[in-house]
Amino acid sequence: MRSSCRAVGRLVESYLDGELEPSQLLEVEKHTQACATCRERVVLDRAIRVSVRRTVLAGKPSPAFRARVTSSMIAQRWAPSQRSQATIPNWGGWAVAALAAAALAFGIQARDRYDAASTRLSETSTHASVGLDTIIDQFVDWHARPLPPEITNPNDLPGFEPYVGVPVHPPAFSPFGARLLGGRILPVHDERVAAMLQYTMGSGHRVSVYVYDPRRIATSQSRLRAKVFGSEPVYVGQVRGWSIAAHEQRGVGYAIASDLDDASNAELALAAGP
Amino acid sequence: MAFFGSKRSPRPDPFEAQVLLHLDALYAVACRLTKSPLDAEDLVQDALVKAMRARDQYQPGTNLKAWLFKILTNTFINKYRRGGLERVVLDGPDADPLADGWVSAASMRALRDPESQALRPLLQEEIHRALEELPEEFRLAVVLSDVEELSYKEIAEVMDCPVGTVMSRLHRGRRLLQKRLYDHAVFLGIAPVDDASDEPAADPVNIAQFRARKGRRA
Repeated sequence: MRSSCRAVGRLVESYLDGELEPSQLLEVEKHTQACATCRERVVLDRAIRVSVRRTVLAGKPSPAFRARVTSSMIAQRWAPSQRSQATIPNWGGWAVAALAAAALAFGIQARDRYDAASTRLSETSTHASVGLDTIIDQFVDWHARPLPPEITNPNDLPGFEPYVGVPVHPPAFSPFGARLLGGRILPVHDERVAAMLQYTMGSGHRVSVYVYDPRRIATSQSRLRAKVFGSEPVYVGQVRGWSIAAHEQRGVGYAIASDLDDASNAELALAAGP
Repeated sequence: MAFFGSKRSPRPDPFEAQVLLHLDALYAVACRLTKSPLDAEDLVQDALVKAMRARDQYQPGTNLKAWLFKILTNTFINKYRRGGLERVVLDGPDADPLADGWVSAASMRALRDPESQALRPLLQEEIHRALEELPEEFRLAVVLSDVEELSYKEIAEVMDCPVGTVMSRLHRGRRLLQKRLYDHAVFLGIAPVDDASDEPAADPVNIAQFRARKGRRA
């Protein structure tokens, strides 16, 4: 092994961790361009990280656990804040200073930081190979085994908007003799959130309406098939005997889960928007 | 609107929404710490209840995920490891398990899948076991870095140790992981046995020097 390989070998981990200063980074890149063995070391180290990430992220919390955690967190909303707990870190200090320095250096506003963080999380999630079909499966699971609504007053539904990221208005299903039972928010796979609205139709059928941000949950890329109803495309499909129809209106995604036929489901999806 | 007027109605709570965005990540790390999905659920729930009770201590704009991991780790230690994270003292030949340059380029190539930019599928399956066998301190550092992409400084804060210790744990954890994967690849006959005896072992990363450099930068 050449001495230059040894020197670079010591930097490879920090290089892949993004912790090198620019001069060291250039040193590694220059060397690996010329040295096939060190290049192979970088590629293998990166491959192991990809595999570790896939393995660790493969285990996802169940919908029931998500619901339980959400409920226990909501129950803490009115609990007094505990300031002196051994397990709670004081997060002022370096973190604030580092962030302030970073914001000054790069001119990043708080909202942009949040968006950037969300983007990184999405990219990480892509590595985990969790498909949108999994989200469709969750929609069906929640419809098949519905949890009781968190709120039942339609006027309260816009309160879900900070979670979901899009306006949440109860669809006007009155022509179908529908009655709104209530709604709740549900954390979907891959750190995405949807509002679930539960209805009983005049015919006695149960219908679940999911309201979500289609930029984060693109049901059009799932196994649902696009069909034109009237002049509008609606994505429809059958999952374990339940019907699913998804449609986007004015930048808001609506998915309907029920035991109705595709055409009736699609009609509800089209009527779900404002 | 009744929602905003009622004292006990579920007011929109951006903190809660942001915390829930990290549920998958917390659960993934909890599974690695406890090695049990059921224990992981209990751990995450306990940690999030603590986070909610301590929400006033979170500084908006700082790394919420790292703050939550710190609470998760502390909760794990308090609940399962009163004496701190499990430490395994490595002696003898395993003390520095693998020096850099331990394996040939041909062997390294044999470990990975050229198509998927990951390990070969046969070795991918071995990762789970290899991670489980890592000492907790190494495993947590590797997961926080490789999966959650926290910086050395953030990991140091979560694990309550110096940055140099984080680097050492990462280095040794990753080398143990590689060694385990390489041995398995040799066992499966998909990698050649390298005779590294004529390779003088390189010094491991000089943490002190690196830290000194980082210190000068700061």
